[in-house]
Amino acid sequence: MTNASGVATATVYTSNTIAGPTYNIGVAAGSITNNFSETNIAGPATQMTQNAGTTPQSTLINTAFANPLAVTVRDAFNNPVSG
Amino acid sequence: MSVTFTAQHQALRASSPQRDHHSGDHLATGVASANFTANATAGSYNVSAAAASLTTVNFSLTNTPDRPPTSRSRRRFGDGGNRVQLYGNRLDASNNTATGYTGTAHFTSSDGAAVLPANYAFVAGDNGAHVFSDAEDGRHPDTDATDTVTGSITGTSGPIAVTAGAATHFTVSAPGSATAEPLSTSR
Repeated sequence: MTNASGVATATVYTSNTIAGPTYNIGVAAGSITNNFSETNIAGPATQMTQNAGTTPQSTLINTAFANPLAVTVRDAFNNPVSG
Repeated sequence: MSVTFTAQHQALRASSPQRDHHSGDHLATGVASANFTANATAGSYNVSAAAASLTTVNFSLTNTPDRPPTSRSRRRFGDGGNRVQLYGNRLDASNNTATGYTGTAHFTSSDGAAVLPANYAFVAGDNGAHVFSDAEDGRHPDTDATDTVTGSITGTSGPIAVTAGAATHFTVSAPGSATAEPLSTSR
């Protein structure tokens, strides 16, 4: 229901523990519709782990290791954290 | 957040930009990575990845010996010149023992009376070295040790000729207190 200023306010939405992608929330008033774009972003980094295939590795001397050493940084809910 | 990869030993080096150290800001996937290259020193080493207050993680990297077209052998007589023990060592060009070698060594001699070891299949527990006991009478002039799969690498020293497989080469030596001739090496 809109107020005297024509504003309608929905219940506060709370993000879950799954970061991204962008979610759409639709609003409709009769034949008029609109969308809100919402994104759950990852929380602070809390963990870092080695990526599969990166350890252990071996290679002949004077050659590069086949796979780059790689880690993935995640938040408490295992969402990757960009930086 | 920046992740720093650091080699714990100079036997490893980051491909770029520093010799043994690389930092990378991780991408949207949360991944940070760095390329590393082994130098000429065989062995197992660690690389750590550290980021701010996060627990540091480690990578285990092993530089394995090369497979050069060279070989080396050495010999000295022992036990009054009557008996010789042979030590088989698979070595690469940098003389790192090929600890992972599991090929089979076969001994032959130009002297039909020579007492030689039977074929021996190196096992992982040998770590590239094995003692062959009571191998040969020291009077016999020529003894060959040959990898049963590939005999393309040959090393000769004094009266013993040693042939190893394509992967590396053998070192053959005979310990003893009565040295009939000095330890010698040829490639």
